[in-house]
Amino acid sequence: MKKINHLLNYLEEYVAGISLVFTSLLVFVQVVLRYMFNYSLSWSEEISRYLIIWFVFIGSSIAVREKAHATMDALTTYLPPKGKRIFSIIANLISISFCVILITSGSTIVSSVMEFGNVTPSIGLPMFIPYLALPVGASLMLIRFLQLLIDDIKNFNTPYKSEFHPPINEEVTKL
Amino acid sequence: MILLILFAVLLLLGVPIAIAIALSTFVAILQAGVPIDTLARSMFSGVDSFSLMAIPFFVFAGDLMLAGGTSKRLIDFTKKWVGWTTGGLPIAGVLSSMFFAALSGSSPATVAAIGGIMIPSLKQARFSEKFSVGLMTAAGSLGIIIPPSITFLVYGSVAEVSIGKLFIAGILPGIFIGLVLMVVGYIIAKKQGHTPDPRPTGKELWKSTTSAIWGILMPIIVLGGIYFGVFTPTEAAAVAIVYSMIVGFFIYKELTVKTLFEVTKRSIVTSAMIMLVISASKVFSWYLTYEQIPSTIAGKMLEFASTPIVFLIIVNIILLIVGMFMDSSAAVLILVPLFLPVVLEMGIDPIHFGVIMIVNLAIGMLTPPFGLNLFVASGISKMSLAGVTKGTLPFIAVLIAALLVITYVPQLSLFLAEFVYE
Repeated sequence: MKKINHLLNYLEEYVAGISLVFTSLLVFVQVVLRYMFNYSLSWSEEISRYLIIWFVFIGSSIAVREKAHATMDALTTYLPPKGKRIFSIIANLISISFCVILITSGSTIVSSVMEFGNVTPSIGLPMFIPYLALPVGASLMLIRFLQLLIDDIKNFNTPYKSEFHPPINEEVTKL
Repeated sequence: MILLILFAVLLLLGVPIAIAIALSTFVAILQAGVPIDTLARSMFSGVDSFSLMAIPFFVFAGDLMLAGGTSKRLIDFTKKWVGWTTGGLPIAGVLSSMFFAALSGSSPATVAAIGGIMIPSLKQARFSEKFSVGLMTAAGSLGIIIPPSITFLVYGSVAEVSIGKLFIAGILPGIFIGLVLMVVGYIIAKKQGHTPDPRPTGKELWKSTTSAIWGILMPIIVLGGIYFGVFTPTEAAAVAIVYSMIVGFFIYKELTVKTLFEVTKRSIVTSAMIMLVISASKVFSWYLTYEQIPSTIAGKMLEFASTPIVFLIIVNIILLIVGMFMDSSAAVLILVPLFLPVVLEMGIDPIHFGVIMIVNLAIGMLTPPFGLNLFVASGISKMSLAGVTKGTLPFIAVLIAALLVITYVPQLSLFLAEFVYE
């Protein structure tokens, strides 16, 4: 179980990281080609847009794992440790049900697009590939929320360790 | 109505903002009898945009610049130039924040990057801790006002106005706020008394300048490129990424393959989070249009607020309150579709309105109880949240005064944009 989890972590990070680096280089190369050689890649915009969509939904799953999603802790910061756990369990359950809805909703589109055999305008990629990012990303998020939920139930009697993570880690700030 | 209540409940429970928006809207959509795949379709179209790609790109570029060692060189540069004069150190702090804001599109990142180094050095010069932390927290708000700015990108995409124009419109208000903070910093510094830095030699001055020049050049390339139509904001951001990698790897030599991995991961998390909120908000704005809610609200607001002056005051108050509780991008995504019809009806320039909104939300990030910058400043300075808040309070008053000037002097925002785009 732990091994699978590690593998999943790496996979997510690599896919998201490579999409980010690759799309930025692609857009950069496009600029260079346009100015130096007056040449334009017809497929670059479409590919980069779809890669960023995959990037967003896979990255969202990483953000769930890192508890980095923006939340409003107006109420929860003032709760006692156990109250915090209870709220977190409820919030996780709600998020899980949302993931289920998004998986259903996303699969509906994917299957209807597959049925009609739609392709993307400039490179003719099957349209279900970009749409697939939604159900896949939602499934990954679902797994992450489940992990957080199990963690909350297991450690119900221990308070959370840290209250706040600055968005930039210590190491970089100290530079 | 059910949408609002559900949204509030979900937020209070601590559900991520993106999910709270999408889920509460989804319930409303179901009630309206719209098919279930609308949810995924809207969420997809919300992030299927070339111009929004600039968000992950600018986040990545900013993180790379920070990890590449740019911020400490910028600080060294401003300290060498002005830090040795009386009251020069606070001015150097604000100046560094302005430079960093021109590299990064985020306020908390500016507080962490510049405040992390400037606060200890201000304290060392015998400034009070409250003043040091307060000044640097307030100066961090420039992060989203001086371009590039994530919040401007989000505003541009919702309000459908030119992002290049918005960026240029943010420059003068950003410089104006920086100047105001410098003046206040100078006055307090004179009162408190402190030990200025030793006067640098010509050689030191030259060294700090040539070292920082690579960081200063980046905004010139990025913004210059956008204004002269060389590239779009998204392309500019991609250029910025390549540029900061070259500077980090080959010129400053502080970036390694290992840190590159860490930086990438951090950028993924930050930008995916923002993009998911955008994606979810698309469902919300789709529903608003479907139910024609904005025009209803616009009608009511026009009855209530008869002149632009009254309307803008109301907007300022609403935004300051919302900004205390909510992430600035999320606030823009939710409120712009509601405000924009009124703005256009009243003949207020949507670019000017964007600047007003962003300055408002930037102040909101400094206000208790939940301003994000306060938490960041407390995290990096190890000062209590109450202490940080007390230190920041006088600067908030100053910033609100600056906001009023920006609100009622549209030329401050529009002059440069009109000049360039004529």
